[in-house]
Amino acid sequence: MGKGPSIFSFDAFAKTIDDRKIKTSTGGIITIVCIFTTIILLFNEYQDYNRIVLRPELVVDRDRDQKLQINLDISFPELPCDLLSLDVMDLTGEIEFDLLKNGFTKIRLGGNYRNDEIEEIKFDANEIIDETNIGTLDDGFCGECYGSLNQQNNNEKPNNEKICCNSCNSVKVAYAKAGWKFFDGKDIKQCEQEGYVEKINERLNEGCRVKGSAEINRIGGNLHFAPGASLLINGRHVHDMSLFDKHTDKFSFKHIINHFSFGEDSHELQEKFENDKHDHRTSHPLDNVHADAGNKYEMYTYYLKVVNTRFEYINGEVIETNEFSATKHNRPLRGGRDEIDKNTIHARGGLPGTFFYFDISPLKIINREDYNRSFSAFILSLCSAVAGILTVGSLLDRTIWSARRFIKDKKST
Amino acid sequence: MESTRKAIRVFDAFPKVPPSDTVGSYRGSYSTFVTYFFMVFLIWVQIGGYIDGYIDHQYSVDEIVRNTLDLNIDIVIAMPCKYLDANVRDVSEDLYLAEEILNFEGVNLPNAFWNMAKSKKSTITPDIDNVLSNSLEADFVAKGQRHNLELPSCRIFGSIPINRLEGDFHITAEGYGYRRPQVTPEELLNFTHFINEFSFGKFYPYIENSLDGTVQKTSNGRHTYHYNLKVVPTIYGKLGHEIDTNQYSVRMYETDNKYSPGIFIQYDFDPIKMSIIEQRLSFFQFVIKLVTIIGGLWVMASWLYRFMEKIIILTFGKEFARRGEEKKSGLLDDPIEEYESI
Repeated sequence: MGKGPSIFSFDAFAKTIDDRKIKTSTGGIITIVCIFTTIILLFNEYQDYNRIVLRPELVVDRDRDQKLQINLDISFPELPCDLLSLDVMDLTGEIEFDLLKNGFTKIRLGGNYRNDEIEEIKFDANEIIDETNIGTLDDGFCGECYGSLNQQNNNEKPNNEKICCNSCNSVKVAYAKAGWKFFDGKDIKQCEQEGYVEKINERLNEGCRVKGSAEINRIGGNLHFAPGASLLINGRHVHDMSLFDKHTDKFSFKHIINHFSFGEDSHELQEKFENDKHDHRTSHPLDNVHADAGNKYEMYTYYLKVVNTRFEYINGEVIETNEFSATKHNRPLRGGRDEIDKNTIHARGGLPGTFFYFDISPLKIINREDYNRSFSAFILSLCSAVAGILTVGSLLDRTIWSARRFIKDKKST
Repeated sequence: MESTRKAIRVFDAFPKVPPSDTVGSYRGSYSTFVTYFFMVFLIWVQIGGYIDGYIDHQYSVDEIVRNTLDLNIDIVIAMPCKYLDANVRDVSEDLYLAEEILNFEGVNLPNAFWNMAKSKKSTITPDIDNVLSNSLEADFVAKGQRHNLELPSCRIFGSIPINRLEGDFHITAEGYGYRRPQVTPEELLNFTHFINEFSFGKFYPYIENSLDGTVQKTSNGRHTYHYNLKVVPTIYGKLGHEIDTNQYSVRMYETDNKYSPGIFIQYDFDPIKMSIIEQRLSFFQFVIKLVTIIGGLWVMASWLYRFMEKIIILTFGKEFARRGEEKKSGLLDDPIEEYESI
């Protein structure tokens, strides 16, 4: 550093010579207070900077070709698995979806409280027993249809055109076509031989838990559990209710929803959440809902409105999922005035069962996790905190100093 | 005592220039006072802003499984009560006999009444303070009361629990729509009406809803009013006080001689819940803000003062600027030691 003018002679922080300055004890106290305040504020700022907040944004759902996945896990303690069928339908309620993906398991529940799992059975939703009732078995055997189908002209037909009921299922279909009640298949030879009757009657006191997920096109629709196998007769969707009706003291659609969600499989999500300790997650309003109206012929309905939701987590993880709002309703099939709320008159008829109607909202919520403030904002607030505190400190000190001097002057004159 | 003072003195980060080296002036004193005044004013404003807080909007999907909620109604119709029916129907196919709970009270109204209220009112979106200050909860005490059923106008009021589903609340004339033994004489049909209150959820009589205080007039007997309501659940909150209510938007159309005469109010609930909550800056944040403002003001004021001095010197000369300056005290009569120098 030479003596001549250089860049170092430019000093914005030029000082008065220290010797000429006065230090006071009030100044000292103020300085100490200032230092402490600054430390507290800085610590607080740092915490605030690190805090993660959720910033929701409401946009119109522009996604196309999206699929809607339904995950469910529901226990029916008073309904055996053989009686329970699951159907997924679209808005019109008649035409069935071509389910894109679909994998459900029924778990037989036994034991005193009907919560012991006995056996798992894989099945598909929208299962329809489809038997033709035409043609004999390979060995020429032609089963009797017990009058449900006209078999009188069988002798004149060739083997492959004969009308036969060769299995328990085909008898069932034939009965349904005739509009007859099938019950448990008792006294029907085919069913007795197949062990169907025994099997069904053995399991009458069991419960059933249905677990699984289906993927459908993203339009509103309904999903329902109803008693008996669903049959397609003359293009109409009907359920074989005979066995359900037969035992007046058994069966009901009392149920416990263990889990119900739309979108990405929550079990995977659950693991993700547990590892990451995310504060913000999807809500599942229907989980652990118990429904029991104490009536066998009761229709439980849930009206759901699905909102597409995206979670953008701070670690860059993005989850496309759905949230939904739910309204619960149930009514006895006999209709009439409600027992508790006398002013409501319920409609009559319908199917005993559990129905989920869902509707899709045009809006989408994007939940974005974000630091409470950006790094630059943090630095800015640090600077302003320190500068501000020091300025105020010096201001205070100078004020006190001037005041004291003023009083002193007054005294001395 | 003196030793601790000395020890503390060491910490003083704000060494002061001894008075012997400073000059004071009237302009300086005035500026100081103006600055102090400003400072107090700004602090005052900031504290006010801190207390007021800021409003945070959040959107979320309702997390609770809902069942029913209340529908609060207070409507006056220009027809005798004995010819009126009120019912609710919704997608669950339930029929709610609203008339069993609602109160029907015959009133004698002058014709001028129907001219007093406006059919179209200016749209007011009440702000959160307005809503919260009006959030006085109330209940209709009476249920299913009937008074003066013959009088020419009828006031229907009360709260009915409805399923929280897409539905339809309607007021129709006896014999039109629902089968009843008596049929309203055609000349008495008149669905001119005044809506005093129509809200969902808890009954807050003073909160303004879109339909409140509107009147619709018709001279045709077989006139039908169709309202289409979209209900958005809303939570207002401030200082820990939260009210859970519902806002709605209205579309209205009228038809003549087409449907059964009456007032049909269709409603549907939105899945997305709005939370309007007044938040407060944390105290530390507030302190930082305040301190920054005061500091900034002080720095700015001192620069401004210097600038002003410069201008005065430039325009009037040094002599003029020095006038009125006084050395506060001399070195002799006021030794530095008195001011706790080191």
